[in-house]
Amino acid sequence: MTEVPSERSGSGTPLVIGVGNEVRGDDAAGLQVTRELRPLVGDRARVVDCSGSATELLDLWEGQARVYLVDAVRSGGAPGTWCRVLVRDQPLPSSLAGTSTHGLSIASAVALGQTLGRMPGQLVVFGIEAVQFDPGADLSPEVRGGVREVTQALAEELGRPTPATTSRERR
Amino acid sequence: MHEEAMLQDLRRKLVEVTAREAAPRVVRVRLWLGALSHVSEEQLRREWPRIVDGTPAESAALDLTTSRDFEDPRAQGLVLVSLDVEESGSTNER
Amino acid sequence: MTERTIAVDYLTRVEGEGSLHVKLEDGRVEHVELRIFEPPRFFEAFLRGRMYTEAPDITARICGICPVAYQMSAVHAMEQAYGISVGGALRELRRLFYCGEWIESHALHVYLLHTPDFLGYPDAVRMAKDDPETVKRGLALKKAGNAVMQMLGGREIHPINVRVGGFYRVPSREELESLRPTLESALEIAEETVHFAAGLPFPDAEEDYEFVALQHPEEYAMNEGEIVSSRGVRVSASRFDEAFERAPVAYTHALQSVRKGGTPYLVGALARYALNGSQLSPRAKSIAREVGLEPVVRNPFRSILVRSIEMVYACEEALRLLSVYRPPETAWVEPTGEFHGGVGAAATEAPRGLLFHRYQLASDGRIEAAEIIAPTAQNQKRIEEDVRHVVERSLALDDAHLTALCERAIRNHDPCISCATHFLKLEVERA
Repeated sequence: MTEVPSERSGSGTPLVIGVGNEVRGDDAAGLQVTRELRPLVGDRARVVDCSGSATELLDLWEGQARVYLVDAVRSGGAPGTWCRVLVRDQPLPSSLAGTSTHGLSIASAVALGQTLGRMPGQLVVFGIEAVQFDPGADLSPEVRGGVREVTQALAEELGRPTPATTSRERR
Repeated sequence: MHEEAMLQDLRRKLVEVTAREAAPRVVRVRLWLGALSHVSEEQLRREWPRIVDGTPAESAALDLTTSRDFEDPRAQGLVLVSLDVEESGSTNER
Repeated sequence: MTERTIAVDYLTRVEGEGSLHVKLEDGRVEHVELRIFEPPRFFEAFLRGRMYTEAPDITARICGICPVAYQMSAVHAMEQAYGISVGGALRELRRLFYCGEWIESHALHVYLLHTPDFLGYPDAVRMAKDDPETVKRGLALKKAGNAVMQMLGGREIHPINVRVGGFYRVPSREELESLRPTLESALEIAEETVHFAAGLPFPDAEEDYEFVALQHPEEYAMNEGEIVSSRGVRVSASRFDEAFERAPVAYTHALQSVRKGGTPYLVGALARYALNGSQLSPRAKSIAREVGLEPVVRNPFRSILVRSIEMVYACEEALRLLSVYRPPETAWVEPTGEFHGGVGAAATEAPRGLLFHRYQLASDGRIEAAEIIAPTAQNQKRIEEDVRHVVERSLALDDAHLTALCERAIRNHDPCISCATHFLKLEVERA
């Protein structure tokens, strides 16, 4: 009765984590990506949702070989644009750090994970530029477009044996 | 601060709406200020020139309604209610 | 000139953050103002027109740290309106669910937010660099609480298994028993935590609180009981207004909850411990004695100890509930008889304090009005008093140190300001 991946379920399968809040406007972007992605990737990846708390993320990604994280961000880019960041042994780029809408943020999760040795083998963060986080609001039209593109990019990437190594692109 | 975030967000929305509507000049801006808003009426009037500076609303009149209803669900907010704009293509230039 | 009006109706955004303004004049504290963005107020509007069955699910999304509390206050309020009584194993499962959230939330606050304050770290990440073991203990405890919440809630993002009248699905005995090893080791860590917390350096402080918490004749109250105070209040949740009121404090200020007459009060771990401490388990009580915890704690910095004691209790109580569990015959209780509409109100003990919900329902079960009073809205005015006293005692400090101390004074009460991280904007004005 739980969607949490257990440690038994094999660390070889990539894990996709959608981060967000369903009823806070564009904050649902990450969750919308996982919803659209599930039927596209079948058993090529495990796809889960998370509220974005740092400690939950550590529990989810520890021991995993490849993790993709999708979240709404506010980094000053045009609404609906998105970026893909390969997180290595460095802190999350400042354009992503602290722009998450969730308390102890993804940046904290990365920093804690690096300090405690609880990072996945490889972590790729997709950030979708959000417009509003209004309670009860739908996704903004621009963000809907970003969601479609990120879903497509992820589906393609999960079809390949290893992820592309570009460290950062903005589309 | 909350105030600054709200005012900057208001400015952003003004710019966005006028661009979308292709409105070169805004004549009047109607705002509704909630009773528990983090910005006060005086503060809003004082900051108004700075908010609209450089936007199509920079010479617009401010029509501000201040609510006293603490129970209103939007009581903490500042609402951009509507804009009166000059039709684009209007012959009346400044 | 042709003009047209464009209707926009756009509500400007405020991000979920808090700010504190302290004004000093002639060496004394002139004014303290804590500002908090209250997401529940937006959800009150969002709930209007929804069915009563939707409230647990919608309110659970208000806070990522305490979804169980929001669900529990919502279901109890709806059940009160419909005259449903939930007892036996379903009641015990709810208590177990709440134990999970207390462990989870307290572990987060004690280890990742509060402890760095005492040890002089800016945050848990920096502390983890020097002392990874302490942080790992906190994470292990928090994970145990999460495991309980996942088992009963059905999902990690926010619990979806709770419904008015009970659960959509109840676990088997074997499923619940699988939590035992996790909870047993959590209990050990919780006990270590009390000893660890007892060794922290506590600043002096003594506050004259009016404590407010639920009280139940037979148990350390979580889900059910009367609302009582250390100054004689005793009311049911449906009579909340007789003792408390929501007051706009200043023009540019959020709505605060105060006692009738305008005085502040305190909810949360300190209040529960002061009012119900005698109902803790023998083990939790003996550990409290061992570390010299006074029966009523008035030093807010020592709340970290009280939360640690509550974690010991919650682990023990969860283990007890596993032992007595026999699956109920039905997973939920249906309302019976005709419903003519009405008001339902309930309060439960969220980790950070009393959480009050009230719903006005139409005869078809639609929500006509909703009112949600979160713990932080109740503590806000009392926290301002704490800050005032801390500043008065420390006027000689420079702004940076004074600011840090104010942050600590606020964090003592586990406020719901962007999950109580260092999002707080603080300003000290010296005239």
